[in-house]
Amino acid sequence: MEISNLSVKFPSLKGEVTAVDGISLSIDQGKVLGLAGESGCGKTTTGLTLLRMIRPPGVVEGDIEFAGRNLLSLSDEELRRFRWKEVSMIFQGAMNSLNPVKMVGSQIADSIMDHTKKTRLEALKMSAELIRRVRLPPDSIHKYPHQLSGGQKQRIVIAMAIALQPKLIIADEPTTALDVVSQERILDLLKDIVSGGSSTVLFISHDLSVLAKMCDTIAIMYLGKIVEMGSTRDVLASPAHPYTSALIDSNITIESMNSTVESIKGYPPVPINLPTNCRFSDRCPFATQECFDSEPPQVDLKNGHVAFCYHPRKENGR
Amino acid sequence: MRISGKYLIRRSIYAVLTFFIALVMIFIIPRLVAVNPVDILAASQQFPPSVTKQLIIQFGLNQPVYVQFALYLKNVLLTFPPNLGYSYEYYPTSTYQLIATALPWTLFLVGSSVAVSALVGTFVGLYAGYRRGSMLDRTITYSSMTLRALPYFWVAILFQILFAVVFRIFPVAGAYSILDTSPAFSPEWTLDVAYHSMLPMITLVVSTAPVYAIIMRNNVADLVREDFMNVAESKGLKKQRILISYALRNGILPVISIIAVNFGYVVGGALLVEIVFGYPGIGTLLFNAILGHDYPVIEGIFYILAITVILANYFADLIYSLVDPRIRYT
Repeated sequence: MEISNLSVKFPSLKGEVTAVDGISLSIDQGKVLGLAGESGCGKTTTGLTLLRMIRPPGVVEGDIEFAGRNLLSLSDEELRRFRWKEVSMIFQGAMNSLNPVKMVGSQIADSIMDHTKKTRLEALKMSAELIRRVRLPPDSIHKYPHQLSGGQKQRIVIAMAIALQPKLIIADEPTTALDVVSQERILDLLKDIVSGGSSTVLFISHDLSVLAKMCDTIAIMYLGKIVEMGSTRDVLASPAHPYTSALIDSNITIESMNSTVESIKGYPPVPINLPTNCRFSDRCPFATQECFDSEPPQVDLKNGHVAFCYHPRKENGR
Repeated sequence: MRISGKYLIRRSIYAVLTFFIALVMIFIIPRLVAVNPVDILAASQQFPPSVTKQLIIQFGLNQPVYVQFALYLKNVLLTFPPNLGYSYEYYPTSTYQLIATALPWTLFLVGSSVAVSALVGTFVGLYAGYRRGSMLDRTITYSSMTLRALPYFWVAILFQILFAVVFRIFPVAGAYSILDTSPAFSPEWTLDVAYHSMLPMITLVVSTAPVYAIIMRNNVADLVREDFMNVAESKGLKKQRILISYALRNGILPVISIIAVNFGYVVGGALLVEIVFGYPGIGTLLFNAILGHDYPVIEGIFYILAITVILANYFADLIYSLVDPRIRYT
């Protein structure tokens, strides 16, 4: 998957909202890429774009190259076949992802039947196998969504996402709506599924500790732009962008219980008619005049670790 | 998808209770009119006073009200066929006989028009809702609202003039040709009856289908914004599966209860259509009974109407719980 110069814009009464602003990303086969950032910075929009689920009047610009095909030029029927078979998604909030009046087993079977030549019976057999893989009791196949707990529903959604063994799975905050215990179990399950190495995963989360556990590479997004990207170890252990440092500092850990947790001052601005400068400049403690005036350059650090900042970590004292 | 026994019992109790309340009201209302029915009967049939006295005793009208009520319950519930009294106008034809002759015509007309209009309305609304905001959606929505606003009987008269008088495609009135002598339920007879029922049926469909279309359209237009509908599309499901298994299955729930309500409403609404087309159903019977102060017939028809509406709602509740697995012990 190769994303270059991708932008997503929505017209609004106050002006054009730029949800994703010219990002370029590539995800290597069999790896897990984490996408982190505050609410509203374009993480989910990026994920939805990869399934071409941005509806008009939203406008998508740029290039998405997937296994040699340009995603933005697929016809309707090609797109239908592409969805789920090539890229699937574990949606934010499993509670509402399932059809309330259909048994969950047959909801898994639906996608199998519409993408393969399998009969209903074969598809249901596969559903049963998938339900076993996500470690749910076999009788779950005949349950309706309202008869399952949040964690169980999330497992069904995961089973649905891996049903067709897609090349890329987008996991959009798959554990955010769950309690801590189920969260941990779901992460373990996802890790097991991913560790087979056949699937590439784009893991979207605002929770850096979750990403640290799951990902090979992490990209940090702020206001529709990627501000830093590199291996999980590099980004989390030696962050170069002040925003990354601030995100890490705002994370609560057992060790930080006794000291105060640093939150980032202020809120991200609304992404309407933004000037070209460093998006983080008005909240950044290290901002200088150039940060307010022009877009920061790409700074290459070791091992493909990159940051977009005038003052990467050496100068801000980290 | 099974119906729990508890749910079934609860619904049945409600239905029986409602039926009983309806029975009581049908008993009370004519007695508020403070006219002795035998006087009317005697006047219309020109009975001598001795016969009148005899009838008062025979009908139990000299008894106290609670005895009359017991007698009424016995006649309506414990007698088969139910003894609903005698028509004043067509004495000594019993009310039961009159209704038994008229009811099949109305059930045929109403049953087929409810089925057709629910089917047409649901699918038209489903499609409009799924394509909400499109030209097609707007055309369907606006024309449905316009049709909905036209009164039944006006549409009936319009169609009668247009298709029976101006263009002469369909017969003007009646349920079958008087000249046709072929026996009942022979192929010729069936065809003739179907031919005669076309205009009244189309009138009812045109007047009721928009209701289903509008409700279905709004349901589906709301549903399309639900997460699981987005997920269904992301899953790359085929369009007809998204429409049927996802949009229709969820959007049809309110429509089912409206079908039930409409069943009663259409029996009443069919009245005007039946009169316009001279259709020998319950509507025409009721109309003539009201004009002739034929109270026993009016009561008998209300009795039948109550049963129809209660049964329709009872079955709607059961179907509801079959279609929506979340409904159980409500």
